[in-house]
Amino acid sequence: MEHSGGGGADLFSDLGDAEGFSLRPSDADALADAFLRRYADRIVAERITPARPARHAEFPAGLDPCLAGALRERGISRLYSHQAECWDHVAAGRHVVVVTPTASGKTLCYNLPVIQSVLAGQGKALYLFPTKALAQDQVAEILELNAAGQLGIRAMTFDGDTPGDARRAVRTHGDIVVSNPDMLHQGILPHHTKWAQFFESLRYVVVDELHTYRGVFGSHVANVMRRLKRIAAFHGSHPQFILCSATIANPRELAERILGETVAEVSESGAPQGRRRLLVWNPPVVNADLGLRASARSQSTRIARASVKRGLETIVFANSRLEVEVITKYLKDTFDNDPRKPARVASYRGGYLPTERRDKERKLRAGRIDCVVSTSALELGVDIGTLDVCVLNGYPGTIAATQQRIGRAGRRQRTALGVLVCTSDLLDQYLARHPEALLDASPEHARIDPDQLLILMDHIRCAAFELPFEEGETFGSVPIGEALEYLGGQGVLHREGPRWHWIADSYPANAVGLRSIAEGNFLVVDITDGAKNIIAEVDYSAAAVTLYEGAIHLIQASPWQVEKLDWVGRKAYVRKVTADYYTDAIDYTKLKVLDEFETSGSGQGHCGQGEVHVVRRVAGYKKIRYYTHENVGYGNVNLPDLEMHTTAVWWTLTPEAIATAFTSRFEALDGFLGAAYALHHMAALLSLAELRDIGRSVGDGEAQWSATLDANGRVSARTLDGRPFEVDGAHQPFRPAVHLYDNYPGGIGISAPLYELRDQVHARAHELVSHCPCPSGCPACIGPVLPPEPGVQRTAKAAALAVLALLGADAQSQSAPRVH
Amino acid sequence: MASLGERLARLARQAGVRTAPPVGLEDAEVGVAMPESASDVPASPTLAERLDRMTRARESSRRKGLAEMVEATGAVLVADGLYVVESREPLPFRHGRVTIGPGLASRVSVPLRRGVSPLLSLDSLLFLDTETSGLAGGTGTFVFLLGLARYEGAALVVRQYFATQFAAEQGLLDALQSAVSACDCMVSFNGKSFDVPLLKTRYGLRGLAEPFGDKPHCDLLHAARRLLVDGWPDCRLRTTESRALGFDRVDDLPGSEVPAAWQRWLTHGDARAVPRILLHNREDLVSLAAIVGLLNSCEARAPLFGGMA
Repeated sequence: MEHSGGGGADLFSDLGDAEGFSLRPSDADALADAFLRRYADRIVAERITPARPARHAEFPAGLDPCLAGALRERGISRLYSHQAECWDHVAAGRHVVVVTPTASGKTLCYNLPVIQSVLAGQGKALYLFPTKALAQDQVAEILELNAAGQLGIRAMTFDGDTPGDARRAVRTHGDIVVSNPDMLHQGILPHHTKWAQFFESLRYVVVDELHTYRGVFGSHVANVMRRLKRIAAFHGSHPQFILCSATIANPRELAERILGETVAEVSESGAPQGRRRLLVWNPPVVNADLGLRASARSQSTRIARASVKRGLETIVFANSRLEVEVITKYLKDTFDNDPRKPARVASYRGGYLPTERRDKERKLRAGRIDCVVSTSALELGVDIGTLDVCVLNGYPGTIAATQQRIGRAGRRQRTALGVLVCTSDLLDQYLARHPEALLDASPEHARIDPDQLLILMDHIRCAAFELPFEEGETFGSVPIGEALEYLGGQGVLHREGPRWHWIADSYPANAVGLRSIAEGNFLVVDITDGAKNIIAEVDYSAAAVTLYEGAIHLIQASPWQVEKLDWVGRKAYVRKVTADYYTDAIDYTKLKVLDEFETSGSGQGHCGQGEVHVVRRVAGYKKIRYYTHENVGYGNVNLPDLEMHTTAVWWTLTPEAIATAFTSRFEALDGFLGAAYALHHMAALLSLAELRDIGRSVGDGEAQWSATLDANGRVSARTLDGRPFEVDGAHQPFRPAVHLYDNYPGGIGISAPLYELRDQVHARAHELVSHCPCPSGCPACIGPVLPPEPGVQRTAKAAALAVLALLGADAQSQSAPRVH
Repeated sequence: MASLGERLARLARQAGVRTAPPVGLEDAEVGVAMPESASDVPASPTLAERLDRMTRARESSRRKGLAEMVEATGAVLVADGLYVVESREPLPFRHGRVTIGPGLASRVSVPLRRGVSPLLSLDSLLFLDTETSGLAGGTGTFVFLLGLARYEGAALVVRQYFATQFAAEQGLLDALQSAVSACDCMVSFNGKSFDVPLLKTRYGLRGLAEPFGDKPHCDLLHAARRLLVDGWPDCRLRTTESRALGFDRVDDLPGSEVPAAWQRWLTHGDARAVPRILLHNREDLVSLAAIVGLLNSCEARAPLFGGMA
């Protein structure tokens, strides 16, 4: 596929070789201009952000002279305006959130007040980073400053890698303890008496990369903060919080939700920024009949190649480890084919050993690597210096992540170039057609729900273990009397006088992982050679559809067959096989609307939001042969139903509108399925959710039937047992609806904001399908469908368009057109 | 609207959390607070009454349990909720195949750490062992039984402080504080890693200074590892007793079952296992004293000094 671009390869090498090794360092501007000249048809949009000069501020008057000296030693004689602004908020005793782009000197925002406090003997600080890698970087940075001014600050990491004998030293001697929320949750708070000295003098808590604390993880972290404040108060301290976030729509709201307190915001960066150009690149069409485009991977590889040949430091982001490895290989084939020379291309992803990782980072900072290919691992603030060109192989899924990644390229004096290469996925193609949705949109809202019942209860348990609860005590702002009574009834707590004591023989924090909503991941155990090796871990929610007995489970593209599934023990035993087929679960859903919280008219129907009960049953699976996609067999599956109460948003049409607009009920169902696909994707685009955070179902909302496509691509309505449901009976009311549900038990707060966005979601979905150039439906609009059979009156795409049109505001006044 | 308990149970099931059944469901009255299904239980006007009755029933069974406990153990109430059980082993006494007493010098060698075994006065040693609400450690672990033993004149005296309420902890910690400051050296089995850190936590939670400071502490787990182990499967106290002292317990309540037994006692006043908890703790203490004796007896000197060379 490398040459599928049809002549592209030559043009690219032409671009690179023309000036590749000339002594004059050609800049990103020249590269962008060359792209625009040669590939005007591929570049669907360009956005230029002008350079921004620095805004400086003098050192604050009260700054410790030793600290000021250390800064000067490091070449810093003034602050940026946002650093000074942050200092002022902190000095005034306010919690503060700083929102700044990559490489704008945000660490000084918190290091200044913290080091000042430590030097004055006025208190210690706890730094929290989402990853261990970032924590180590931070300590290294403080130590450099320390060395520059001989400040004598003791900054130490405390995480899973800290050896046992060093832990006591950290607890008693650390001025700045750098850790992560998971360690705070499992290792520090449940042992807070050992940390008494530290908590007594805890003055600042720094929370960096705040934007990563969203969804389930963020909801957990908000509760860990409630526990932290409760424990600090027990030891007599009320620390001030300094939080840092990348650009999201609502940093202050997120900070206030995480802390449960008022937070000041600093969002105007004073750091200088060079000019930035962003190109949105759609690979060329290689098969006009099928609407196929050249692969994004080959395009990204070429863009990176041209960039490196021009001597520009380049980073390529890909969305999976596999893509990273493949792109790295392609680039190494070009640049690293002489083994005597040091490598110019490196890959970067999670899961390296610390030493290996630091070595790569050092080489990157020193500019000894010309091109790095990374997963999202480099999206966070790991210091790799700044680069010239950033290539995104595919839309990362959110606008915030896109900006984070693009921000990796950005020089102070020179132009930086970002290129987003669209894949053939729906969202990518949507953005290729509507680049303004990316370029003009503000980034997403980060949402959390700290009072989600399961999460809240997890942390009430942990908090009760840490300190007995007093009668009438609240947790954050939540009254918890009922919860304590409940835990009392469970034999977990014991009430004595006004106090609830922990009495269970367990360590509750160990049973609570912050990064998921429930324990119970499945381990995939390889029993091929009689040994039992754990080779993968699968989420509880995905286990039923991927680990049933007989399933072919792919790990790094090699097939393993599930031989035995131990549902209770959460283990799947697999054996390596050679299979020429893969398996696809056949599952049926029933969804019942329990309570409609809100509803509003939507064209000739309405849109609602409320509580739903969802049951999914995996009834069996199909064996599908590779390449031909023939159905070569079936198997039965016997698993417990997956059941959850959650919240959802739904769209439905009146029976009259459906009867008028469609010739048959099946045709209407075809339309609803296609509309659901488009609505689902637009919902994910417009909320911060990922696709898998939102479930999708088309059915009656009464748990009688749901619509599915069978192996032949024909739509059918089925009950949970998989029996066909007769929807064509004239006596039955026919009210199909598209349901988009929050895919976590209890919900994590996706539905309510999604309901607020309902008109936009609908309008975008409608536009998406109507503007898609495909003739009868494709994965970029209504999902994968088979070509229509001859004689079919209306294609699935036309049916989906009819549904979307009927849901539209302008459909209200006029009767819907019959589309043929 | 479903009750909190109902909603939680439902959510937990859906999220794949494996919950243990509530403790004490055999107590029929616990079921009252947990309706089968919230939808068919209207806000019952009698719920408060039933809860009240349940509380009173529980109180009465706890009082009854307390009386049984006192009856069975001879415990003496010394402070609000704090009972002391005292017992003596006049010297000499037999423990397994070892006889403690004859020939035991008034000063004994106590193995503190490798190469350091000072001679200390026998009656300045404080043998210490606790029983706790859990084995995981951390601030949520409660020390409900503190066992202390000392040589006093011609007897080994065991005093067990049993906190029957959380509020009695203060008295327990006070007792420990005076005992520790009065001794020259503590002797425990795995106490450096388990009992002492836990006790420090308890002092910390009450805002009290911990009494241990740098008081010498002989952890016989480490000593046994260094000096006694000879092809043993492990180094637990049970193994050490059996191999080194020839002492095999009869009807011992395994340490792992202590937390559950204590919970039954605390929440339902079920006193049946309490004497066994006390016996278990007492035998631990006597074994500690016996091991120190053994290490100072003629037959053990060779390995003792051999290991220290």
